[in-house]
Amino acid sequence: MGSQSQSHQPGRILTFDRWDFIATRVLIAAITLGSLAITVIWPMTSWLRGEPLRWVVAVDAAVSLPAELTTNPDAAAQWNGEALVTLTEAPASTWLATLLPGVITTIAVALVAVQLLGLLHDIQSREPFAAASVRRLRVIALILLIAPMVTVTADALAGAAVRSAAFVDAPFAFFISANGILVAVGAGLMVAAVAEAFARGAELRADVDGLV
Amino acid sequence: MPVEDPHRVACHLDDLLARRGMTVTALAEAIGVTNVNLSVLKNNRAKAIRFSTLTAICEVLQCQPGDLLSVESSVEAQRTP
Repeated sequence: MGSQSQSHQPGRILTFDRWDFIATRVLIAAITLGSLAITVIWPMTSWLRGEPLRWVVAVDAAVSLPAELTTNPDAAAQWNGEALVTLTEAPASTWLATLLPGVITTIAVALVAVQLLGLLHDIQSREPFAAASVRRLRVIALILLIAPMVTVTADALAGAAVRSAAFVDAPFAFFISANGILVAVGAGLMVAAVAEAFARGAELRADVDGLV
Repeated sequence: MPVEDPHRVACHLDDLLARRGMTVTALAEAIGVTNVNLSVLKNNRAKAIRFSTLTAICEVLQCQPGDLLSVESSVEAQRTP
């Protein structure tokens, strides 16, 4: 990003000016509010309006292929994937279980957003190498490491609740989807490393403070 | 003694200035350092001094680094508030 007046200077690309800071803050706020709206408010509104609960559940047990998919004589195939479940009279416990992953995600996004906004303030006030910035980065790293695992567990619980409400004699199954966890863990470790660099910067800053 | 321990370097800029009848402001102007930074040094609140600053001070005050700075013994340092 860069303001229009700076766009012709290659050396000024990706240096944050006032408008970049404002745009980043707006983006952070939009992501947080979007997460709240999509993962919490929208499903909660559906529940309160008496709409059916729709949830995609993982189906582990291989079942017959749909009739539309006919295999060649020398081929065998079984369907193993996801099913979109619609529950017209979902109990409150099932609704709550399906709301849980979204609530956890929104809390994590809000916590990261608060830390990022504080970090942007520290950077904009030219005081990035301070204990507060290091703490903020470590909190972000911790959230990135923990939140996806908690969310995935909550998602698995929600899936189990929907399966038991939707299928006759459904055995209790707990499917954990690891999609995205490694990326989040990698990002968390990267942020933790950046926090360590900031900690060294804070030490150097403290040394320079008393230099005449 | 580990280097993390508080230092016991005492700055005698006050005495040197008094003996030469010079003010901190005049010295600050002569060596091109801010008044605030020089006051930090004078009041023993500095944690480090650049060789360039030390050279400039010694040049203006016609002294040696040893005249400006000394290391107090641990007993002396404890007595100093």
